[in-house]
Amino acid sequence: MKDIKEILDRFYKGETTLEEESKLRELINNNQLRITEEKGTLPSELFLEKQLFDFYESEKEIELGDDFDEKLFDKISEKKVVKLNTKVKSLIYRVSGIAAVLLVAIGFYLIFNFKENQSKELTNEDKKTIEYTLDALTMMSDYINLANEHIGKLSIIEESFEKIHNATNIEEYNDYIFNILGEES
Amino acid sequence: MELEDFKIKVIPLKNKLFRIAKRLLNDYELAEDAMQEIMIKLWEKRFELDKHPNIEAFSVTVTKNYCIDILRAKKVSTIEINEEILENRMDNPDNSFEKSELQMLVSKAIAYLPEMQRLVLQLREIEGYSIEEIAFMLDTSIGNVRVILSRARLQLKSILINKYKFNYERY
Repeated sequence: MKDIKEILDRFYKGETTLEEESKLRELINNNQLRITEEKGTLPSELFLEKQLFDFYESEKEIELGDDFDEKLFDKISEKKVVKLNTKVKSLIYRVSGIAAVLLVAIGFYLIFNFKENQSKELTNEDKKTIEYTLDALTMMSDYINLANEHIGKLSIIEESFEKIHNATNIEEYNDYIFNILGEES
Repeated sequence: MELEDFKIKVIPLKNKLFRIAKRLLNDYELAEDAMQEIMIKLWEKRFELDKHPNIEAFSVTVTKNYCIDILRAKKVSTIEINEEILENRMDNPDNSFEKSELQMLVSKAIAYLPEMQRLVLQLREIEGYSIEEIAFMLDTSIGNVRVILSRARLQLKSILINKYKFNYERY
């Protein structure tokens, strides 16, 4: 039994391996360490260690409750929705910002290209330019369409696109641009 | 890593991480709440997790750091002075099966150890990690882990004998 003394000694120095500790636990559990002749008696010095090992064994079985996973996945989905909303909102702000800039730019372009006849009607050329721009912007807004339910602003912007599409003169056109700019603030 | 992947690779660690949290916080319900937050943190760090060679070790480290932060914030590094409260908080309140008197003593004695000692004991005696693994998780040397483990085991014995008068003759 010198062996055991040595193992215990190293145990308290933190020098035993997992295998040695496993063996120690086994020996203690099976009451195989005897000093006295009496069967089933654990040498009193090791009784404390036995309590410790029993405790560790029972601790291994501690687990979380059954509702843990469900609660967790609920929280994760919540976070996903919040994140999507903020991402989409910022995208919309950015796109409508770009849209507003482009449309204003076109507005200026049209104003500076006044023909001498002072007719403020939009020519076919002008309409083509506007049309191309709207197409590009519509493509962008398609990406955002997913969030249509959540965010009402998007539909207002799309309505304005519609009206611009139908504008026949510069004044109408500028009116609708200001609509979008208004929604920005 | 998508949610399905996360469910396969990280969720199975929940009980182990929970036991570690409970050992550090000395409080069953607090540990339950902490586990929710820790899992969410791990989910948010899933891209880091993908790159890490050892997801389990990474998770243990995150758990340890989170719990230590809580302990610092509460300014309680060991335990409640009131032992009755400690007894009530440490274990599962729903648990109908009671610990034996001896087991309760061991439980309380461990709660009195400094947090690193409690942690190393948990990782070694209960979760069965090797010294090398523990050193990796705690970002420290193997020698240091042995020292902490040695102190923990000696302290625990000492607390049981001196504070709780763990008396061989009685049992």
